[in-house]
Amino acid sequence: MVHINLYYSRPSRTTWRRWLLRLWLNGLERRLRGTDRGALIASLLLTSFLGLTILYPIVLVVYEAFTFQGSFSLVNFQVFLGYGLLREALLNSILVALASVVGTTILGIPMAYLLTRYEFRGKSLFQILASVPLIAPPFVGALGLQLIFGRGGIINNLLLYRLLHWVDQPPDWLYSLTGVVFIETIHLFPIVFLTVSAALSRLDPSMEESAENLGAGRFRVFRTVIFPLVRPGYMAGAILVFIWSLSDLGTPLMLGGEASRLLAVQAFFRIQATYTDLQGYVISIILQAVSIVALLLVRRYVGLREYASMFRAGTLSRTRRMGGWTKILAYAFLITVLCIAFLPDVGIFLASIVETWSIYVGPTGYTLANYREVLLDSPLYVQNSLFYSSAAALFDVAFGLLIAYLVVRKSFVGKSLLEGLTILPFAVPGIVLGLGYLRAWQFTPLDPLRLSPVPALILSYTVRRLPYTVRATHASLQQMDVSLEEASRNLGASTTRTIWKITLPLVAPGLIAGGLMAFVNAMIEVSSTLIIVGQMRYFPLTRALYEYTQNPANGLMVASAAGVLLIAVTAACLAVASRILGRSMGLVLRA
Amino acid sequence: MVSVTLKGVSKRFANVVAVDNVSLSVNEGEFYTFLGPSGCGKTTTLRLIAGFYEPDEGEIHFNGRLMNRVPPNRRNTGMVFQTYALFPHMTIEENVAYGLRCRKVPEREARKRVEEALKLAKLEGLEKRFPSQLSGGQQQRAALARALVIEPDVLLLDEPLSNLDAKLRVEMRNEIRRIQKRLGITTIYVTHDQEEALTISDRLAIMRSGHIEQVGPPREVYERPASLFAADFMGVVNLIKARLEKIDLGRNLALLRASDGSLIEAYADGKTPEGHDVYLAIRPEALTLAPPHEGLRGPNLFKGRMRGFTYHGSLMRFEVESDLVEGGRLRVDVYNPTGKPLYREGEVVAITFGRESVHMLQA
Repeated sequence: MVHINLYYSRPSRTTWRRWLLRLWLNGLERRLRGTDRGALIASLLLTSFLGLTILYPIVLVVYEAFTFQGSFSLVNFQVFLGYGLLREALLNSILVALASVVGTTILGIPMAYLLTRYEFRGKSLFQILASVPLIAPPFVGALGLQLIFGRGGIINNLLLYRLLHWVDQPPDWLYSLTGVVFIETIHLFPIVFLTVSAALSRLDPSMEESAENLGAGRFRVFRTVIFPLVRPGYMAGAILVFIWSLSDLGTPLMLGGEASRLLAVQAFFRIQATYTDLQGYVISIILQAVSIVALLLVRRYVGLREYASMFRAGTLSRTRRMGGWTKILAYAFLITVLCIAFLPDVGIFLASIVETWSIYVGPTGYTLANYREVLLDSPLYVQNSLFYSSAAALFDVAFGLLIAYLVVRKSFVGKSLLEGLTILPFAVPGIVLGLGYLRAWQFTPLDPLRLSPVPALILSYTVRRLPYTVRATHASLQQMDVSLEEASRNLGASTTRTIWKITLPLVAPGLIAGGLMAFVNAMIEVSSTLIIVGQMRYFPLTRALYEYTQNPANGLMVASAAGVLLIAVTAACLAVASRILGRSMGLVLRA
Repeated sequence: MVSVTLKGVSKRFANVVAVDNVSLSVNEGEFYTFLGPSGCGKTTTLRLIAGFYEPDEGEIHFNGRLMNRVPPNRRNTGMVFQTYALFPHMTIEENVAYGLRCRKVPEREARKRVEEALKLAKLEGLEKRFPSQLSGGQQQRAALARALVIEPDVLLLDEPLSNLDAKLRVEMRNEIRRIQKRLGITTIYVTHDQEEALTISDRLAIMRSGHIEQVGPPREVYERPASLFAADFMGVVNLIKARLEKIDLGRNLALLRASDGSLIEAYADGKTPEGHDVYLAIRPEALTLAPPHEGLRGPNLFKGRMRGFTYHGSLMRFEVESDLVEGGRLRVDVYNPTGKPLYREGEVVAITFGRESVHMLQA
């Protein structure tokens, strides 16, 4: 027990401090008494681990950006603004992100409305297909589109230029900001589609009905009731699209040309295997700041709060049938969008099986040699990828279970800090984290440049995807009735036994699905990978893919084979995850 | 004021016939109730009237005007949903004003009408609140105000009280009835609660698996149910299987032989012929119980063995073993049980009932 000394005379400065310290310790002790010791120790260990792997690197990036010759300074930002290219890149990045939001909205909202509110043939097939474009990573998509919309591609070169003679020379729009927006849009519109569909189907159907009953026409119902109620869901999707396309490094880097006049690419050029260029830090901080500002603006002015339905109505949601012309238009819209959205996948598959691509006639022959080169001739990259990703996924499963269990079932000091640290990686672009690792761990046994990048890679994959397993387990634990665990204790089982025999089996599906998602995302992770790995022998498949494209002979084809493999692994993991959870693939992707 | 007529209306969902050839007419200013167990088609019928479903067959008329294919927003019905369906992103005031805005009512008049509606629903002072800040009863009244403020031709209420607690439910149903009478508005009400239906309605229709079993004023439906189902649904009833042996035209009496051989006297209903098998429905409150030696008199006097009771406060329900009745258990309600005798289990008791409380149902 700590005693408080009360002084009659005015205490000196040092005694004041001591007094305050004791008061604080006293309070802390009182709070600690309500905590169980195991939980406290576990949470301390986890918090310091996450502090070292998330918070510390970010703090260092911020520190470097605001420091010049050892003291606080804004000079680095003045330098940033002095570069015309960087000013332009900042503007370009914001424009590309906004344009992607507009694009995904134009495709996603009508699609969601059609596919939840109307009844027509093939609806469920469309629902599945509409979430598939999200599977292929966008930089792989960028690769695939070169064969279609590229300079020598099927449409731009063979069809429009050589066959139809509609153009004087093959159009070149793909290697530009337009190209980036196009790729981000057809890749990310499923996010808007999925979030809006979910919000629409959660909407109590009697809301619309009562608006209609009160005399509102269909458009008025949408404007005054449906849209305001769906808006929080839509905004959550839109902000995800914004941040994603803002910080995407893989796509513009793959396209090159005008597309490299974007902040993420400029940051990468500065950082690439060094941590001495201060502009790298400044650009990263600006990227981070734009994401955060966008998030705050949305929260401030629109609100992400969802209106909880006061009751979950038992009435069936009403679906409408369409008249002739509307039906034709709807089909035309859905089919066109999906056809375009699948072009990257078609392109990359085609590229992966051709020998070479002639700008005069297209493929010169078909072969499986590209796959042989990736899988058999240099299997190291595939092995690296599998090793890093499985290790990260295993860590995620272990940490995810532990953190979620502590947060849901225990009470301890610093709980909200632990929770916050777990969610933080979602808001941190991979570039920032990668750069933070370079800076934080230089001259330590974890130094990614001088020593092996493997620990830094695995750790970065682990913390970036930790939210998947934490949230999955969190959700299953919360749905699980505490009385199940109490019943087990009541029947004589120890705490450990209860966790093993009751808790774990019940949360296992969510945990495994979360682990699979973590695995997949580690496999296709680009931005932190590109920054952290320098030596070829440590390359994972994603990094190797960029290396392949540098080979002018058949680089595009070999890289495409690698891309097809990545897509296949992703699709397989998603299929298994959705099977385990018994949910549709769209729901798994949204989680 | 508007009358509502349904002519041979049917509605199917996939393979399920939800509403099966229903015809009915609701008079101007009448309070009409659809009563039935869940899945009987009462809510579907209401939604057909509101226009949320199109009937597969049949016609719906308001004041003789055909309403089929008229969209819900042009039918001018005011509906109160089971879940209230108050728009969560609008204040109470905005919710109530919504229908007026759709009708482009001038701002000044709209404000006045909203104010009146809120006053009628006793919601003054809550105008700026959001639905989530109101209690269940207040939400219910807000939903009612929103439906009434548009001066609908027909007021439609879909189990509006089912989410309230028992005491509030009674208060609110009196409130709804008071407002309806004052405005004289044609009202169609859906409920599965027979007590609610009896207290609130001018007429009620008992529905069962998509069709109407019986229509009539509450008293008629309760006292002279048209079918076994109606009798059973309107409350606990004792059913005795019997054959009509003889009709005494002079005294207007029917003599019936129960399945255990006992003789029962009832008033002839003028439609059941001699030699016909019938069910006799007798309500538990129509039976009288006494110790056997206290010499009850009358034609319908039987013996039974006490098997226990349940206490309901204002009444006590005894279970008496008797071969007279289907299932071998007669239920007898004794009102205001204070001071009345308790019977030991196994004790023999006398049971009697008046001829007027025996109601004949076609077997």
